[in-house]
Amino acid sequence: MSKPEDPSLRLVELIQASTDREKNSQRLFDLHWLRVVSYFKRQGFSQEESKDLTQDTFLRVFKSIDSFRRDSSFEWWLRGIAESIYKNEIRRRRAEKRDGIEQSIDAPVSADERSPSPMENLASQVPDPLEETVKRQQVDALRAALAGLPEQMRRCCMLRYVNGLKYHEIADLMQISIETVKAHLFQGRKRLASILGTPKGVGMKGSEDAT
Amino acid sequence: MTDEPIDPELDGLLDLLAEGGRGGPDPVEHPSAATLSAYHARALPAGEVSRVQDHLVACRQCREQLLEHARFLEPPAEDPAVGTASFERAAEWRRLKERVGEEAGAAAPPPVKPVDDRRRLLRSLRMFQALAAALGALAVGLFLRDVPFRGQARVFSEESLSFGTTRSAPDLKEAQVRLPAVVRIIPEVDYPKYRVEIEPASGKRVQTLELSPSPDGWLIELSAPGTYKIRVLGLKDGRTEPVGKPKELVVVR
Repeated sequence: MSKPEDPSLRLVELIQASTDREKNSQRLFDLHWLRVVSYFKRQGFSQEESKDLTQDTFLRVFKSIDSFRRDSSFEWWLRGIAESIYKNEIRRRRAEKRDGIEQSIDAPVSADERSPSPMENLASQVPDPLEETVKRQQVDALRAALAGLPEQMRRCCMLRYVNGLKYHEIADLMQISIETVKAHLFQGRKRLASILGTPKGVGMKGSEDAT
Repeated sequence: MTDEPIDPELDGLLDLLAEGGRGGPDPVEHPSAATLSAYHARALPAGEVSRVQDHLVACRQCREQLLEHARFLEPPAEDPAVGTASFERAAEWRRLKERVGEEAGAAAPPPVKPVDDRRRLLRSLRMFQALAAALGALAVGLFLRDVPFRGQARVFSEESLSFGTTRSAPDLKEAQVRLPAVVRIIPEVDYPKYRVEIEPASGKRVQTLELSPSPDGWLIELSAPGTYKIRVLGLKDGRTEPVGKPKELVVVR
């Protein structure tokens, strides 16, 4: 739960109690306006669009602030509203775009869209059964090896190798430092290689593009 | 510093695992917003933390929620294009207040109270009474339409009198107007200033008006019945000269 001294929650409390409602609403707006504008800019909207969407967000915030139960942080609630406004806007734009597109039914099929020939299809679809079986067994073994890792190490490895997250994202999600993430990954790979009997220590991967 | 040992075979296997793992469906059940918010605020008990972390490994949606929230809480960059200036924020606040006001004004109409049959009957009775009263008023109005009322919009009868020509000899008893009455006085000789004297035959005080030239003359209201003698004098170089002959006007009810 959020800490009681959270200034936003304190302001919300005052607004809900109708204590200097307008003044406290403005304070809350001042605290978070730029944050919400930045959120929309990060989603790719222009400055003016971001300001308009921020208006929509705060309009909804102040319309429904009395129903905010304060069981999450105000920022969490606010971001949820901003996200909902963002999704509505995307939906609206997609609908506009869809309505505006005219596609000729006579348009020629480009070379890229051409269907592959039956022979090409056959060649690409037939797997080598032996190779497939070996791969499946190896992946099962890897999965089992991962399951045997200490839990935080396993989570870091899964987030990194299965979900493709960056170090700092794993650190944020797991609430640990980036150095700890790196250490878990280093140890994790060593253990996995040891369990699976793959050659290891050929070299070291750099981390320039990983964070 | 380098972090991960290079192991092409292991990397190949991890890639295969990733191919199978990515794009899979998220779990059906998710921690509540309150739980995720508390997790982010590091306010969850250890057991629950572990549960949430396991969920995060499996759930792309919740991962994205938390990562986006972390970005949301980062202090916004002081980007001049964003307009951190307080006046801009203040302007946006004013705009928001206007919008809140507009939305409140355009809110749904006040709810209509349900009416029972008795009230409905009473209401139709009242409507009938109102209709009857309106018809009665119309009948009285038609009957009395020629009777002048106090407070009715007044229509003035007007008499024009020209001063200064030799032919404008007084035609004493023919110039007659009905109350409410105005007299338009038109001097036909140019003077920089004029004086108009209106003398009631009843011997009451003479009214004197100093007037500037006006192309349409002057309109003067006469509010009481009686006979009035009207004189126009031209004022020039400290001298006073009569403009035409005096005229008489009779005002009747």
